[in-house]
Amino acid sequence: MWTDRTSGSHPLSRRELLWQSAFGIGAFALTHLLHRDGLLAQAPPKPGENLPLDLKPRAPHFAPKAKAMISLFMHGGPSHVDLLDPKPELTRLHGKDYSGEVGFSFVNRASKRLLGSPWKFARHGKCGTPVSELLPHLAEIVDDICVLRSMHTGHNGHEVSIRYFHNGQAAVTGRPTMGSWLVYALGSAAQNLPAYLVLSDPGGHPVDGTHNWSSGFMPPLYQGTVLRPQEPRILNLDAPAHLRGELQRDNLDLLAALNRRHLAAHPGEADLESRIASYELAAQMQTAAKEALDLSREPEPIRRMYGLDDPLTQSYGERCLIARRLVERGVRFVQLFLGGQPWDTHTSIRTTLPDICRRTDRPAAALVKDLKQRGLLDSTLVHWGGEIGRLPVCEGELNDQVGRDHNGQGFSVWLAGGGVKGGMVYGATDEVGHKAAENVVTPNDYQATVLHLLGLDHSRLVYRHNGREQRLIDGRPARVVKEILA
Amino acid sequence: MGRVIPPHVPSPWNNPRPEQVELLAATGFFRTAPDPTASGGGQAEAEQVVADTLKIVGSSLLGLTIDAPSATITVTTRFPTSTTSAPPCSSRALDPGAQRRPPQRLVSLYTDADRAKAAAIEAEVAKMQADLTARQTKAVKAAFDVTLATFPAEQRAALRAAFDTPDAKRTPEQKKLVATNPKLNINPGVLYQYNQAVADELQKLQNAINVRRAQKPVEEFVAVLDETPGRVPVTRLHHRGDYRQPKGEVTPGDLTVLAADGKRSDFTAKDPTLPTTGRRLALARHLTSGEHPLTARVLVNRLWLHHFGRGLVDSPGDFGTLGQRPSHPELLDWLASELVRTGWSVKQIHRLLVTSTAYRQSSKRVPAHDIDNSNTLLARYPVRRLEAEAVRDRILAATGRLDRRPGGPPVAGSEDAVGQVNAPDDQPRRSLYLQAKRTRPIAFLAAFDAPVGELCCDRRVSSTVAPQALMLMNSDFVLQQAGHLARRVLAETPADFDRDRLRSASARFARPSDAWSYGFGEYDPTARRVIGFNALGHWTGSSWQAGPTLPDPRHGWVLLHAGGGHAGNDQKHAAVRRWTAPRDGRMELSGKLGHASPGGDGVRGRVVSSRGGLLGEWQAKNREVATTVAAFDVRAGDTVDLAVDCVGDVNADSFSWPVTLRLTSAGGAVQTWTSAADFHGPRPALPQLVAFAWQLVYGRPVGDDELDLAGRFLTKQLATLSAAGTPDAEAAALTNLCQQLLASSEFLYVD
Repeated sequence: MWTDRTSGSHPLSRRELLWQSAFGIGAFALTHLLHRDGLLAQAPPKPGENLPLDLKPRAPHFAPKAKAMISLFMHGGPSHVDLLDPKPELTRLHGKDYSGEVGFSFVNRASKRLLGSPWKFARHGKCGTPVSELLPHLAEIVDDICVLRSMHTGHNGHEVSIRYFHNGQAAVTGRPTMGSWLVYALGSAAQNLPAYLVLSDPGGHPVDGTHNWSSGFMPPLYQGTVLRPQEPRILNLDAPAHLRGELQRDNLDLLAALNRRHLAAHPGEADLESRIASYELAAQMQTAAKEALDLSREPEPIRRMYGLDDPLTQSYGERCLIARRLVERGVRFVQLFLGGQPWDTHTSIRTTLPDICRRTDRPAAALVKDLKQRGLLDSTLVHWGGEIGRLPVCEGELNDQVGRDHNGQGFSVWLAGGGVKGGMVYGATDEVGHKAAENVVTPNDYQATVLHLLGLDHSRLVYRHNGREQRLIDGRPARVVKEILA
Repeated sequence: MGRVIPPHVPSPWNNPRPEQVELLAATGFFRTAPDPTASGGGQAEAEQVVADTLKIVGSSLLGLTIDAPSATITVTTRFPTSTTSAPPCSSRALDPGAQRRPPQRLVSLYTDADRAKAAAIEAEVAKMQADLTARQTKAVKAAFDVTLATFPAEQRAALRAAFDTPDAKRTPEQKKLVATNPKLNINPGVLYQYNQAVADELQKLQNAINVRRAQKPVEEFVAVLDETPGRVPVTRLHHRGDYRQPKGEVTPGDLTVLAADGKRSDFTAKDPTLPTTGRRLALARHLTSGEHPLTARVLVNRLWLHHFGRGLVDSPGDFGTLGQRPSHPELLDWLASELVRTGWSVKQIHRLLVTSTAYRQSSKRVPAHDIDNSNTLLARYPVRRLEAEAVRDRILAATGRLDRRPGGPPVAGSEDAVGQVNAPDDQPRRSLYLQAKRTRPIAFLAAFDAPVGELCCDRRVSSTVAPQALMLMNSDFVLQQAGHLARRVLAETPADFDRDRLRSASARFARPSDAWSYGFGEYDPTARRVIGFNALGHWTGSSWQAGPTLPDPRHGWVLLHAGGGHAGNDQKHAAVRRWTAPRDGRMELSGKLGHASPGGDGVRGRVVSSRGGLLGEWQAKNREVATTVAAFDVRAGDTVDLAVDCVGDVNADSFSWPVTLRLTSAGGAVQTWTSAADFHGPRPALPQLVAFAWQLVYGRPVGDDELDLAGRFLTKQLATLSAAGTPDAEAAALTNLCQQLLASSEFLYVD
């Protein structure tokens, strides 16, 4: 039994640790223990050594505010000046030429004509945070969210900024995403569900595909497990119809008997024990994941709240609801994606932006409300945002087809719960909303803050790879945005 | 890497000789980095390709991690003597200043002879096509004339004029005529409806054209990295890694940190004897000179890693001070010198490794081994899970279907109904030949830690995760292969396989007797029973017949196959499919007796119960008749015969008669039999089948206690499957057994 050996004085090698990988724990007793105690407090790894490469729950560096995170990633660049960052000056200057410098992505359609938001803003909640009329449901929860208006990647390209947000470095691939870092650091309380789940869209993968949930140089056990947008949401979860029930139990019994005989001939081989356990856990997952993903168990008012009764919001609503059910069951990190990049409103913003708002606004707000009414919001960090924002000037002619080009210089995201102050606005862009001007927040600052909320110091969270200590932010300047902490 | 190849690419490499093709293909090593310039992108992307390629060269050949953001080289592998370095050989075959996109880096392997042959065939085909077109036109016209003649004479002129006029020029009246007389709208595609003989004739010509065109040599391409002759680009250090800030010039050479005396190996900027700069050749010679401190060590360490699961240096891509120290430094050095001494013969090193005592050790662990938990010192052979490709190949090999042919075009994966990418089941090639696409990894391989191809994977992880278990339990791939394996076991197990040892085991296998038997006999109209039933003794692989030849000298044409059979020559040789009741119950029987031939006098089918006599009788000649029988009672041991005779003469007496039997027991349990699905040939005893499956999967005889285990399993599953009315329950149970063997540790691990 490897558990006996871990309790001894022999340090485990990287190889042995690999044996104890995802779900592949050797002893159920340990799981029970963890469930009882909530967390496994364990000695920090020696300098230069990785954490055990498994998904058992682990203590963070310090007491966390959030235990889990749900990220509603909005690919394409939501137009902050039309949604969360009202600019009266932009409205006043509508149609005039902008005097400042602008970096364009689509120079062929570039223009310096300022485009005032076609939509009205109004103040909401006790806090009075202004929200565009495009987001009526978000307006209902402003007292629970903190809007960061000074996001800045410095890059206008999608992939460049997406990677910056996900893995800490602009444009670079092959690095683990923040979700990978979180489950590497913290493991998962849900041993019969994947720790890091990605909820994909019926419209296909988002831009940049599997890079969005890659574990990079970490083992694949830390990569996001993609749940399909419709059943079967997990592949190979169910036995084919002709094998269900008694036959599959017989099959697994025979397999376990064969494997135990093999193990008996190879005493002490931890991986062979893990193999046996992996089958037992797979069998458990067949029930646990089914249960977690079964939305028919949700009462009608909840289903309506998420917009499951409306074809427009049904798909995103289902995923928001699944996200809540997953964190309820101990999953550490859940990220929702939309197909392609629906927020990339280069043309006809007057119709394309309301469309994507209608698909997502009600479910996203419902998620925060629902978490709150269940007492889960305090321990669950919710993130809403894209990788960039949009320019205050026109893309194309100022007519029905007018749009807005990419803007990585300044844009907005919001956070809720998990130790973030509600009813707050942080940072500001310049008077027309082009550049982050006050309290600039980079993706690295955002990552440092997220890790802090989950009880982790970004500079101490290390994974050794290729002879060097790697970190999510990797030594770049980053600060925890303390001002938004509750 | 599965790039889509454009139709034609001009090439400076005309008529490459086979050895040149090999050299060109070898440069493809430098083409393994992701190259975004295929779909656009500018200098930034081109510089990234250079940096990625340097990374690949560094970690694979030098055991170094080279981070080269645009030619500023940071060797993150640190060495005791130095922490920074000048860039290695700056060959600019990758030349961001004059970037050639991937499609421009393909060399066509078409020779002048191929080209001439292709042109000659095309010319010939053009002639054939012209001839075909002329004949088609003529045939269409002829058909039109014949059809037109069926119209009243006074309409013909107007119709002909309407159809002869091009559509754009037709008057409204003409358009109406065309629209309302579709039977005159004749084209080559519908010609067969008017004149089958002519259409067949034309089809033959078309086929001949297709055959001829298929004889054109296939144009193949090889992805290369070559330099533009005559161009000697200047390489500059990029300030802070920014390619937009080029600074001092860098001359070609190896990494400074690798020079023994601190003096860098420099290469000439331009080899005067070659049309290109010759820098890569210089680097290659330097690396393989036998003097280079890393190349040979890195290579033998990698070979060791593949045989033993870990390298002598456990960080195969990092030989610096930040990597792991070698566990056996003298051994590493000796192996490296052996490699050089044997003229870089990788085969010799493989031989050396696999014949070594270390390799041939048992993997059995004893308590004394606990002092070296990780087995770094190799006191035993490690227990290792097979790599992804080997798991798949081994499964295919167990089913006997693995296509071991070397070379040839790759097999593309395809997405199933739920978006999982699978290799096609009908092309069971080695996993090596599956097309590797970064964006579409084969699901089975990815589950078992096959790398996705993001730059270099210097060492694979070997995870043990629940998704692997789910893959082995429930995936279509594994279920399919278990079915193939079970079919192989049923078809290939020798009847006397290990008979002496297994004889006593039969008692432990409760094999439900097969309800069906296949023979011939005679219907006795007086007794209203089938008499003289004789089993058909010869199995052809798909049918039961009297003997190896057909007709059989004694018993004539009688035979039975899954869907039906052939009646015998006389009334004594009716083909009889006999079902024997395993228990009491009420039986419903339905089916369709079919006789397809217009010749002969047809066949006669009878359903005859040993208890109730004749229950139904039908004749079929060139038609199908439903053969439904009113529900009747059976007792255990009763037979129900489906007897087909030739009526009067035995010409053209093939028949089909699929039948479904439904037996309802007194308790209400229903069991179904399907004559076609249940049909099979002779089967060895269950212990033999189990023992043979063990031999195929594990390559060893089954143990006695394993036989017990399998016996209990099959007995229980056969009961469950039979009760559920599963067709051929035995094959289904055996499939499940095979699947568990394929999913078991003994199969997945090497020890």
